[in-house]
Amino acid sequence: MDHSVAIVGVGETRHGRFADRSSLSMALEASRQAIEHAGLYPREIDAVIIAPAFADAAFNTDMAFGRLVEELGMRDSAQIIMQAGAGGSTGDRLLRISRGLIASGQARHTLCVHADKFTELTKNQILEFFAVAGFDTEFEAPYGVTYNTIASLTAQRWLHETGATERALADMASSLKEWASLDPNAASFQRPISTEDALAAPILQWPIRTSMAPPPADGGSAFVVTSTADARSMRQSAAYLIGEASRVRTYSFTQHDDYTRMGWADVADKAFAEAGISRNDVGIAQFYVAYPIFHLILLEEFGFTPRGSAEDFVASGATRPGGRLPVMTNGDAIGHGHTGSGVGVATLVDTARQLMGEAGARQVPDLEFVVEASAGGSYMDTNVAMFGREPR
Amino acid sequence: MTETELRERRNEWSAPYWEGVDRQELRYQHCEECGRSVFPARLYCPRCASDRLVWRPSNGRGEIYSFSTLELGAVAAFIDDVPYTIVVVDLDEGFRMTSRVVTDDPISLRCGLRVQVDFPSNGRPLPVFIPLLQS
Repeated sequence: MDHSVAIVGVGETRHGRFADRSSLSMALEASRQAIEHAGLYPREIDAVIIAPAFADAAFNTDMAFGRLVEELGMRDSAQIIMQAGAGGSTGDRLLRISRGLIASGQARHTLCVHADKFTELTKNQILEFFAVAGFDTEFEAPYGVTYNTIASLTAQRWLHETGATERALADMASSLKEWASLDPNAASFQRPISTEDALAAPILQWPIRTSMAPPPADGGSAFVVTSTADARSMRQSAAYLIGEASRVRTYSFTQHDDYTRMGWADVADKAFAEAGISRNDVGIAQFYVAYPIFHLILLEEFGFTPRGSAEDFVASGATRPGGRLPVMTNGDAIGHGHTGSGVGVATLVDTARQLMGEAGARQVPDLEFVVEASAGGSYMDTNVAMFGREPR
Repeated sequence: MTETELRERRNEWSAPYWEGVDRQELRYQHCEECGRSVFPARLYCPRCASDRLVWRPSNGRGEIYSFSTLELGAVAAFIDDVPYTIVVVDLDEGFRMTSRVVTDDPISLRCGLRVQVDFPSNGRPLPVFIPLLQS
């Protein structure tokens, strides 16, 4: 892969409800951690790329207007500061922009950062925010859709076509929360849930239950990107980007041609081909797709298990700690906590931690390759990135 | 959600759709360049970028692609409607539309069920769907 890059430093705050913390303090904590972790000084960062904060509007404006340059001690040293986002795809997009800036010589090291406080919003504000996030305001929102509607419509159709049962969703939710229960930064740290309990939780929109929906959270995360050549001299292990592919599908979720596939197979094939690895080489599937129905779909569409077999695959324990294909080792949004654009950034943070061997109780042994996937908006796009412990 | 709030959300290019709703006629756009059906209202064809979109009447019939009954977690404006069922319908003319399905027998709903458009007189100028009446 020409002009490739690596994640060489990561930082993350605890996620959850923190009434006494500001978004800014979380952005600074994550940023300083990531820069220090990379072995750099703040003034060696050439470009700061900031994810949008949807909930904290005043903080968001501060971020777009460059406050971090002063707060992080980069006055007169940083060359570029900007905000860039694509909802849940933001982490992937920040990495891509970094790659472009580094490849073109406009930056040597970039800092990508997100922070937000979703718990500042009332429950109804959150529902209203997501009711028009990727739904057509004029033609769809007036029928009373919510973000849960997306997962529900998808699951209804997927169960209809594949013959799986709603237990598959509960099992996947339980698997994700088992990972989160081992992550000290996750909102549901030390709070696993059994498949039976997940299946007994109140119904939001069948078959989606409260146990399967992401809880809003406060939190910050950041990573530092540099060229493959620099990464090799900076540290023993890093998360080397070895393949990627993406395609934008639709704005309105409902206009997807096939809810049970969503076009993932094409981009997965392309990313695997670029990385030159096979499905069997993958040690972790970091699928940032929020609701457990989508992990099931991606497992099948990526070719990790045949269509119609995801329920059995998850029931075997394969996706859980100690399983043969761990899925989303930070617990995804339902376990880690939903911070808006931030979950995609946190997913890359966790991917890098795993490849650096620094994932603590969640460390996947003998890890060589990680496949990461994310979707923005209401699953408007399909993004896949492949990472290895070594460059290619 | 009031009729006034709904009207405030309308785009400049969707007027023919809402004129149709006022006449109890479901309309969609047809792309004269690529031949595809387009929904909801767009200025350019999402799949071929052409501006040659023309409005056509639909027969209002189609089948349920998927549906979702909301029991908990409604936005404040729709709390009084709970429980209600969001539906995605594949219309016979080849476009896909989000709406609600209204039925006394929700247990009978399933993917693939034939439905037809209905224009309820409840103060909301929004077409909904009902199970297709057998004739």
